[in-house]
Amino acid sequence: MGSLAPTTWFAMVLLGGAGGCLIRHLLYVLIERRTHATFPIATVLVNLTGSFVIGILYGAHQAHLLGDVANVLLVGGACGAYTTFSSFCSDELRLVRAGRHRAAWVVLLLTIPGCIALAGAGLGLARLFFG
Amino acid sequence: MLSSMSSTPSATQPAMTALDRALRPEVLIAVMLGGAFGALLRELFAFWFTGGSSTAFPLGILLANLGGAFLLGLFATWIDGLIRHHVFRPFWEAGFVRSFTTLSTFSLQSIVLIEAGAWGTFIPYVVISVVGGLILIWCGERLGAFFVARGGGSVDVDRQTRVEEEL
Repeated sequence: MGSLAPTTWFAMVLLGGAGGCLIRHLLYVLIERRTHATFPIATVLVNLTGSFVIGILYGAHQAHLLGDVANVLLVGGACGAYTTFSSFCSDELRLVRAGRHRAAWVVLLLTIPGCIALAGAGLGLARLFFG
Repeated sequence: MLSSMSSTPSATQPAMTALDRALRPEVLIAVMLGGAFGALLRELFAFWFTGGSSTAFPLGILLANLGGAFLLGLFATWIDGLIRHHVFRPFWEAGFVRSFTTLSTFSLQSIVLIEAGAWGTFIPYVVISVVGGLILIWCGERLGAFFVARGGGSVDVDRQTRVEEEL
């Protein structure tokens, strides 16, 4: 809980979690409404964007532009809840079951190396502008 | 609820129904409540299981991600069939489980480990997360299907082919 009082920490995580989760849910509905794709684009998209944003936020926190309270709210709460690992797993299992191995590899590469690279890119950008 | 509804698609019941349901106020509140508690439990896991140094092995998030993958498999095949109230699935799946698991924190921790040159922590972390997550969601589905079969029912694990059925 770092430098925060436990009650503040709890409140920020709860609030950020609710907000991040709601945005993801609305985005899923929006994407599904537009595309009806069987490729799990929504999960890939939330994970890529969330990883990029968390890199920026981490850099801003390191540069003391983002306070500790906002950091817990946005990083642990909102970004953490907005992105999801369990849906990635269920998407992969479903693609493998359907015999769509190429799509499964694309999702894996976009999600794991892709998200790590985007988190790094976000952090690099933050350091470039805030550093 | 949604599963029973969307398992019998027909011309009179267009796919939009599931999406419209996903935007009802009580469903959105359930998603937010589940998301809040999922995030809290995940951050508590990170607090309890991971050491203070930034290059310590991220055991807390690993346990949250692996546990969440198992729970999602178990819920999809078993518990969703038991509790059919229409806000249950948004609360537990879209809300709690998906918020309990995370990819952004995983990516950030990976970058911090790479930057510190802690390859001996980074590589096992990524490999155990991905391989373990895929194995555990499969185990969760199998265990769920086993419980359903023991209760005299049957479950088609290939049933879910569309994202909208999960909303």
